[in-house]
Amino acid sequence: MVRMEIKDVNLWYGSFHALKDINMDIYKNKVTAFIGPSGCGKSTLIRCLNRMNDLIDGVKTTGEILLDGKNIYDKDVDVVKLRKDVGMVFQKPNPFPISIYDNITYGPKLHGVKDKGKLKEIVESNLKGAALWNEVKDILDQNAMSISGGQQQRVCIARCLAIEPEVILFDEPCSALDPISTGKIEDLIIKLKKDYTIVIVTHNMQQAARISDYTGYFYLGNLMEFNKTKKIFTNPDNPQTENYITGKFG
Amino acid sequence: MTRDKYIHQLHDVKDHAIAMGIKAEELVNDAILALENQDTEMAENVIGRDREIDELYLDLEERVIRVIATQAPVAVDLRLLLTALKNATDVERVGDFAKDIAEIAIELKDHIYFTKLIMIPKMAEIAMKMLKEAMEAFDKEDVELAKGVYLQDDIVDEIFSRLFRTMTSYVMENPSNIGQALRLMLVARHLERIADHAVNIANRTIYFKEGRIEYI
Repeated sequence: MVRMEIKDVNLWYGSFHALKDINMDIYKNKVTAFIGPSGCGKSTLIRCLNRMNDLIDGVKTTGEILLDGKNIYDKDVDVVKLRKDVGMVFQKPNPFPISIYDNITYGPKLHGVKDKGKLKEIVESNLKGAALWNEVKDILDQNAMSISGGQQQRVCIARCLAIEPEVILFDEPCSALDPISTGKIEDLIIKLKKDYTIVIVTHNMQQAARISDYTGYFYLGNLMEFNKTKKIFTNPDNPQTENYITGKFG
Repeated sequence: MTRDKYIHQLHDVKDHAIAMGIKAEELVNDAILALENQDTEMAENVIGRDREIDELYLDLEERVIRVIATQAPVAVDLRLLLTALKNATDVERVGDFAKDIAEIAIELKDHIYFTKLIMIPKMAEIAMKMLKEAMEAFDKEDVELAKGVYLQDDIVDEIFSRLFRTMTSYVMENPSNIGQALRLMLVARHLERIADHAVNIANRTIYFKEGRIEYI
């Protein structure tokens, strides 16, 4: 089932045409990976999915991105609500410099949850959801900046889960992490797809091969191939995709 | 072009697999000559050279493992490595069959053949041609040439059946012929298996080129 539809999306940074006629579907409860060399547009596209590009001056976007059939670029769309529904985890772990507990409750409080028992429950269930609970349950009042990078990234994932998104966008979530932490995040992403729709941008092609169900290969702002991951990594249709994933180009 | 070392490693694996194929074909040729001419010296030589093929196989296997472990190959590169490794396994078996034929040649050195060997050299000629073409199809990535290999397998099977009937009649005529007849049937059986290995290799060129697994 399709959760998001990207239709004829074009994007310009000033006069620079960064995304060209992108059409693709993001499937519900699947992991979709965007791969491609630096500057190919993959991060730009993922930022379109919750309108993060709106925050950048001089950006012009055309086309439609439908979330459950509704165009997220329509004038009546509440962008704050959109970013609640389409959460994002960034490349560098960016917990707030407050306690682990407060990091998780920040979003729910902002959305009006006041009951302490409920907040406690939210912290526990979402830290469990982010596979971090056992590691931090005794240090919840500790500053989130004091734990390891891999743990910080999982705090950010738990913080994202706490506002109950439908889609989670991961923009290079493991590029600042060691292999053990990377493995944990990858396991977590596979687990999360049961309940969420996931889009991930990664430079690590093996990561895309390991965790995603669908893969889109981007080059110079074009979507060169969009296919099942298994197909892309065993026998892609486009020779340019093959050149990229085998490392002969890019 | 990037990853020069990696690309070199891939070419290297392919070249080694093809070189193994050429050696195995020569070995079958010499084993059959040894059998035809009752030449024990040549038979011994074949037995020794089979070890070279075994060593080449181990070397190739090690190279493939190294590339997979260090370079994380995908798509056409992964298919190349798997094809080369599996082809090498087939070729190694062909080498073993050539050795077995050479051993039979030694066992038959003092026998007087019932008749001049005709069907066995014919089978060997076709099996070797199939092996050669299968390896050539892999080398040139030529799917049509690979498909042509299958068609010849029926001829090998046909000669095998005819030989079986002929040998049966020799044994019925004189039961003391059984030793020679059984040994010649074994040679024929080995040649029939060599042709099957050539078909395996041909099949894999289709997988290598088109990414689909097909058994014929």
